[in-house]
Amino acid sequence: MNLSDIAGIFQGITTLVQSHPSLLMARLALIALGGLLIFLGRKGILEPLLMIPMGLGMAMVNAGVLFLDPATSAVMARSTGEAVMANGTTPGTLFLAPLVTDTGDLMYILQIDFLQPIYTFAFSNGLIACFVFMGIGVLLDVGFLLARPFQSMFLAMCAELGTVATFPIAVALGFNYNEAASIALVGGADGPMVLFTSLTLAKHLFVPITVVAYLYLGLTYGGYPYLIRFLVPAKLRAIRPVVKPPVRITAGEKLAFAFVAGTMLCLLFPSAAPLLLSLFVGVAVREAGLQYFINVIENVLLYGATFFLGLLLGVLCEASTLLNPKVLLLLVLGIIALLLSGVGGIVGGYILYLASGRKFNPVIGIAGVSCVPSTAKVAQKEVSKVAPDVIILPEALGVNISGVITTAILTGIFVSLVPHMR
Amino acid sequence: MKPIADTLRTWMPGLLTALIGVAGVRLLAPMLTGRLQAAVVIFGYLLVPVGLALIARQIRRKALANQEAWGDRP
Repeated sequence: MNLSDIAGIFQGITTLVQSHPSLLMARLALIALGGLLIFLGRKGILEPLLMIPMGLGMAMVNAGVLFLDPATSAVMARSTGEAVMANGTTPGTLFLAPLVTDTGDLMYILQIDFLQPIYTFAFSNGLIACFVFMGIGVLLDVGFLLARPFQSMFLAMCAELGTVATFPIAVALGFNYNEAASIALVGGADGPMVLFTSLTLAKHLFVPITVVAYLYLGLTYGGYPYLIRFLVPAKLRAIRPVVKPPVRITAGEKLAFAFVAGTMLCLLFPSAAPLLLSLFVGVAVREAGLQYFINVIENVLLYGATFFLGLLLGVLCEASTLLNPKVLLLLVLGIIALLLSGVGGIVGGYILYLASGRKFNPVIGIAGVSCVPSTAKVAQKEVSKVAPDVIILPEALGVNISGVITTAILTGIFVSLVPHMR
Repeated sequence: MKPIADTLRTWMPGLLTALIGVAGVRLLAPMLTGRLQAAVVIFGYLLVPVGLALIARQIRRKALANQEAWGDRP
């Protein structure tokens, strides 16, 4: 037995040591980042449902690199364009191979990599994003939107400032239109939409864009309270909303609205129709009172999809896939998009505050950022801190739901129009 | 007849507004070119959410009217 045989036993370490220094550093950094995500998820600072599987996937995929057998190496080399080593092997993992597209190679990899079937049949075609959206639909009560339609729509449009403004910024930084649209949509703060758009418009960048989006969406819960406190003085945060008579919208009217809104938006944006159908079928199932379907979508599809979404996003963070010079710019653009959207929502809140004769609580504006229901909860929490008896949650939820619809509209606009831009 | 008229009044203005927006984007705009095409597309995209908001407002109006008629207000 010689030294190379011993090195062959501990391939995780051998592949780490033998890799290029930049790759070595990236792998170690991602293992550490994975651990940090698990820690922050456990502490509740980031969303644990997503961050714990994601962090574990991220750490283990970067630790579990081995020398693939010659047959698998040949398939990988054809897909990635990387050279095979002298002994016919190449470093890789047994998790999944996102770059394999040839049908024959894909059939081979499907029998090797254990997560490849879920990636190929549920992730890369947007099915997981659609499952999450069905779950969101089941959780949404459109009655909050129907009770205050124009106020909700106006604030939701203001809270798309980040999405609209980041697009030209990204183009100015050297991204093409498709890439710019994909990263700009982080401003909509809607993970499934970002996933769907980047898969449609910039498949080569969908891993970093989606990871950036989900990381930052986790941060909205921790970051937006500071933005609210910075932009809205305590006196204005304590404004009590004018008490209006409660509006009781029937389930039939909500169902009819879901039908009309979904159909109209699909007529307008056929390329976003899968996502729109998923959202509105969730709403329809809820309003029709189909309890068995509600249970399946809410308890099985939503949580199952969230688990695999987190796990796959983590596993996709393999250093060689992520080592892209554009990632740093994506990180900057993602935070700009979310920051501008939050600012836009609060500015919208201030406009309504002035238009209503200083009776509207401007904090409600931030709920236009469509991270359902996090931003509505953040708004209520910040108001409760200065005025515990002031309730803005119903209004904030209406704005929040409008945010989902306006983000769906912007997704449709981007997916439909951007590919035709020259 | 009154319920039908009421239902039409609730749904038709918003539905027509949204449909005009859809028709502008999907039918009219492809036949046009240049700035006129861009204007029709933008106008159409805006009309659809406005139409949906109109439907929502009418549903709210109807719900409030019903509550008032039945003495259901708090």
